[in-house]
Amino acid sequence: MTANVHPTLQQDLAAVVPNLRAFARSLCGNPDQADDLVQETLIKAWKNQASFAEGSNLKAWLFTILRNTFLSERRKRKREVEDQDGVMAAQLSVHGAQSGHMDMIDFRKAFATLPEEQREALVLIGAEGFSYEEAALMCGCAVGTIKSRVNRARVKLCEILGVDGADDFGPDHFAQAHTGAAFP
Amino acid sequence: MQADANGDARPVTAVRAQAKGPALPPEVQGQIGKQLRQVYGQLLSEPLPDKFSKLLDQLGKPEREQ
Repeated sequence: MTANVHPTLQQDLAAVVPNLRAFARSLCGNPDQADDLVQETLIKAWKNQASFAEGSNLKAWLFTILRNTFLSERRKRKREVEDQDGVMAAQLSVHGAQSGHMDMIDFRKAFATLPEEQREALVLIGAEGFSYEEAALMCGCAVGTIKSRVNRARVKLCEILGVDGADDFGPDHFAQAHTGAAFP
Repeated sequence: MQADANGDARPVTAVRAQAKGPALPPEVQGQIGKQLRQVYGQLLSEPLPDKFSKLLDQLGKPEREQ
């Protein structure tokens, strides 16, 4: 079996599992498929731990593995993918049934209509707090491309959700807008 | 190239991504970001199935035990 190069890797991986699951769910709406993706990612990370440089960003490394795994599996079964994309909105909103809050259900539905590359960029920047530079490295594209995707995603969400002015905001929007470090 | 009315000399990358389309007002971005983090936070806080800790335990065991 693979030599354990990083003594704390097991605990470090465990700590990132919730993030990997959430990211996987953002990429493919199907919860079972998302969990398979996370398991595959953990196994690959373990086997390839020698290629992880101690001190670099473990979460970014794992997210990159997960993303590459997702894309290569999808290439393998191209026909199934079209089905997956078709049912994604429904699956994300099924998850939404757990929350009674109308705003969040609407947001999930709107989010699910975004193109995959925009969902990915928005989650990496807006939810996970990666820098544009980190996200660009992870996605293998230019920083400007990530910025553009995030911006288009936000604009589209605003259109769908009808957010267009201060009147739509709750009392805490102001603080959020000015302290949201993960959302520059 | 010409300095703008504010004499803004920041590098292009520091300026909000206005070149890529209409930039949203900060409060609108904040509202979208807040909802995104709420929804994502719900995913993050979901209980983890046992299969993940089992898998990690298994990975950590020496080969002959697997």
